[in-house]
Parts: sequence; structure tokens; C-alpha cells
Amino acid sequence: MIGILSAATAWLGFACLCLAMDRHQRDILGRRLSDSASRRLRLTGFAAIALGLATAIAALGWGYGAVLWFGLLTLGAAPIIALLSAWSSRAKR
Amino acid sequence: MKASLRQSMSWLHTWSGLLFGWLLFTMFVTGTAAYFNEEITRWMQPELKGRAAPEQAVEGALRYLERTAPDAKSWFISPPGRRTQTTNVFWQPADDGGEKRRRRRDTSAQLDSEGSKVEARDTRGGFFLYRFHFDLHYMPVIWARYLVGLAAMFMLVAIVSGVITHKKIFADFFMLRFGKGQRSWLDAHNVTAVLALPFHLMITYTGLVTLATLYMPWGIAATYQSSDSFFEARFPSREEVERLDRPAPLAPIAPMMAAARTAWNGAPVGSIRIANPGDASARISLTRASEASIASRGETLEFNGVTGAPITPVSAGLGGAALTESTMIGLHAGRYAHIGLRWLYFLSGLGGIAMVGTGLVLWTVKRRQKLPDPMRPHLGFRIVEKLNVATVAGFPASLAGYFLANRLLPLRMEGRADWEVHAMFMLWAAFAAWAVLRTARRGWIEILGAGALLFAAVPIVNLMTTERGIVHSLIHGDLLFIGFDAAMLICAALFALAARKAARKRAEPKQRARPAPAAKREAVA
Repeated sequence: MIGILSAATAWLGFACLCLAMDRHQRDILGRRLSDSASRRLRLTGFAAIALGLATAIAALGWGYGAVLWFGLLTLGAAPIIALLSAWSSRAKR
Repeated sequence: MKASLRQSMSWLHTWSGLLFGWLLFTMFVTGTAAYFNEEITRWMQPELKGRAAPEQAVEGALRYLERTAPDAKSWFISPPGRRTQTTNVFWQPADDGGEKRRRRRDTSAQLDSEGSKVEARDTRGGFFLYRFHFDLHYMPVIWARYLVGLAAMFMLVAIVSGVITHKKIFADFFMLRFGKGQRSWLDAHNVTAVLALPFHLMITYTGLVTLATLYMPWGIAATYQSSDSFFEARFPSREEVERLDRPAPLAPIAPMMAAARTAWNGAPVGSIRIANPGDASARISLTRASEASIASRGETLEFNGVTGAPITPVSAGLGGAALTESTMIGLHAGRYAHIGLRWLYFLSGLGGIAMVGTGLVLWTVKRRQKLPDPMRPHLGFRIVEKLNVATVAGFPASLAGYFLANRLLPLRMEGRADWEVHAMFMLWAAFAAWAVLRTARRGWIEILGAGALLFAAVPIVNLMTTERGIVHSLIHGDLLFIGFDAAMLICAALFALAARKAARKRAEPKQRARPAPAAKREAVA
């Protein structure tokens, strides 16, 4: 249960970090966001990822929680990359 | 002209990765599979069902050992745990070190909860994959471990130099572009490497730590008289106890197991050692299951084997260095991980397989366009290319052969367990020969295609040869068998997809070489 929550924050966090990057804004939104919007997205992204770590550690202890968090980071970022890859190849067509 | 740091790191990354790449690929494949070694073993012994309480199983095992090896120097019992069903026992015969080394089979057994030998096919199961990961096969274990250690060291070098080489590690974090030739291979290599980078670093470093005393014995040599005195200090419960030659029955074991559980906050007993069984000097040591915490070497409690009284431990727990080592080994092997985290380990392992595989392919993709005559590459290029086909496509495909052999070899065959392994290597050798004989393109397509067929055949052959086919497991909710069949079908699908990609891609007209500046930039990236 905690795992799902922590995975969701990792996924959300990476989604924000991805959207905070100029290049991907063009791929996904077709335009650039303002600098302040990008900065807010970046902050939100890091905050979500940190929140996932805090939740995992609070629920499962330092050792197990931290290891699980690292694994979930990998799991959370993978679908973002897959989505983005599909998105940009479709956009090019 | 002096090369920049990044250029020299790029060179280091390319060649350190290539030299042991193929061995590392097989280590990643078997190591990743070994995260489910107990489950694979259970699949490979479909006759076994049900599970016993550990206390009952241990009492059964003691009855078996009293019947079978009453005079043994010591008995070892591994009761069924969270992921296993049977009790494994082995013993050290009284005349140990005699004229002939015994076969392991004569001094070990797999038991059910009543202490009878189980009636199941002879197999090494997932344990073989686990052992191949660091002991390889068909060669002395000690050579294999040096070789594997050397490969792991190169892997560590490749990881660090790779991170330095990858100058756009943040900018390209989410970049995976398909259909762009070399660029796509590089993206795939980068993404699988960076995404699971914490895992790759951890697994490589801790992998070296598991055999650190073999690779760097000097620390022990400097501090201890001999390696024996080191092991005695490190594992005091393994010390020999003087035999009194006075027969005495063993005290009941269930209370000791209960006491141990209490002492370990409910963690189960992972293994039991009984020294001098049946003698007045008997000693029983219980070791905590390694699944109960990250540190792999569990605490041990000792009891007087006749009175059942606890014996005060010589040393009070592990020191800092030993605890660090134990935790690192635990992190590497992941025995503590529950099912969710175990899958994360497995997925990160797949990332590692993909990273090494794409890295090996990238070496050839990068160089193909620069060849003077791409139709007639030089010998070094051809060797790398053939080894890539034989290993990256052939080795995982031959794993399907291991599983098929488990189902297809005659149940009562002499040396059956060994022949399952031989079958796998024979298949791999056949794939390798095929790779040598065919052009690289045909080799990729055909071996990947064969792998798809072999993996798809596993659930079908399982359905035909056992009572636990997919229909049965779906009706009865046999999650282990459903999961295994599903995993085989996913492997088949991945192989088929890869084969199709290989068939399609090279059929397209060859891409023209890129303009020089771009090519140069990418050679560095």
C-alpha cells in the first residue's frame, strides 16, 4: 500500500520534472511554459519525489524504506519515458 | 594532442565494457532470474504441493537424520521458509576427509514435513541459475570466481566512466527516440543505465563485496594468524566441539525454536546445525532466516543439545565492519525482499540486461558505418558481432531450453539434474555455432525467432506433461504457475518483437553516413 503511494509520488514527480524541461514542453504541449511555471514544476517534482522517500521511510524504516524508494524511482520514471517516446514519435508523424 | 577527460573516459567505457560484456550479460541474466530462484525451483518440481509448519518439518527432518546418519559429525537442516516448501538436510559424515570425496547427493536429502524423502524429479532448479551467476559452469569454482570478480571490477569501471562520458545525463534523462539507428541504441543504453543507476552501482559494488575476502585476502592475512582463525573469530558457532563418546538423546527442538523466535522479534529460524548428534556433547545452533532483515548473516543462538539450555554467546553480535559486509551481501542477494520489492529488483535486473545488451550492440552499430567496406568487415568486428548474436540472443534463449529439458527428460533418468544443465549448454552451443555460420543479420533474426518459439513452448509443454497446466492453475488460483507461464509468454513476445525489429530494420535502405561534425559529437556522447 505504501509502495503504491510512494510509486505514485515518484511517477508524479518525474512527470513534473519532465514537463519542466523546455524540450519536452514543446513535445507535449507544443509551446514553452514561462520560466516561473517551469520552476514551479521542477520544485513540485523534487518535492513529490522527496515526499515518496519520507513516506517509505516513515512506514518501513530507514533500510527497507530507502531501498524500496530507489526501486520505485526506477519504476516511476520508466512509464514517463515510454509515454514521452510514444508521444514525440506520434507528434513527428 | 591531449585527449579531454571525457574522451579518455569514453575510450575506457567502450573497451572496459566490451571486454567482459558477454560474461556480464550472462551474469545479469542468471542473476536477475535468480531473484526468483526458489519460485523457479518450485516450478521445476511440480510434484510438490502444500507446505508444513517449520517446527513439524524440523522434527520430521530429525527423525530422518537419526535413521539415516546417526553417526554423523554434524547435521544441517533448512526448514521450509516463506518461499520454499521442502526441508533440505545435509550431514557431515564421521569419516570426513577420507579417501574419496563423497558426492553431495549421498550426504543430503530433500524432505517433506513428515521427514520422508520427497518423490520429485531430480533437478537443480533455480539454484543452478543462482550458482552460475558467480560460479559459472564446467570450470573450477575458484577460477570462475576470479573471472566473475574481474568482470565485476570492469563493470564498476564501466559504470563510473560511463557516467562521466554521458555529458547530457540530465538533459537527456527522459530521451528515448526510436527509429533513428545509432541514436536510438545510444538512447536505449543511456535510459536503461541511468534509470536503474542506483541499482547498477549497488549491485556491482556489493557483488564484489560478497567475495571480497577471496579477492583481497590481505586484510585477514595482516590481522589473523591464518584464515581459519579468522573464520573461527567471525563465526564462533562453527567451532568444533569435542566429542564425549557418551550417547545421549537430543532435547526437544520446538522450545528452542520458540525461544529463538522470541529473541528475534518473531523472525523465523533459517537454518539449524546440530554438532555431535546423539552424543552427550551435542550442540544445537539456530540461525535466523536471512529473509527477516536486510543484513544477510542472521544472528545465531546456541543451545546445549541434551539439556536444551541456552549457551551464552562468545561475542556480542557483529562488529561494525562485519555488519556492513552482511548488509551489503543482503542488499545484493535481496533475500529479505518481500514480493513487491523482489519484483523491483527483478525489473532493475532487466534494466541491467538491457543496458549490457544495448551497449554490446552499440559497439557494432557505431562502427559499422565507418567500416571501409560494410559488407566485408574486419575480423575483430566480425568476432564482436558473432559473440553478440550468440550471447545477447542465444544465451537467454537457451534458458528456455533449461526449462523445457526439465519437463521433457525422462523422470527416472540417471544424472537427470545434470542433463538439464547440459541440455541448456548444448542449446547455447548450437546457437553459437549458428551465429558463426550465418550472417549477423540472419543470425539475429533466426536465433531471436527460435527463442520466441522456445519460450512460447514452455507453457504448452508444461500443460502436456504435468497436471499443473495453465487451465488447472487458472481454476485453482495457483499463482506461482500462472506467474511462471505468464513470464514465459512475455519472454516469447519480447523475443518475437526483437526478431521482427531485426528483420524489418536492415531491410530498409541503408542510412547514409551522418555529416562529420554530428558523428564526432556522438562518438563522444
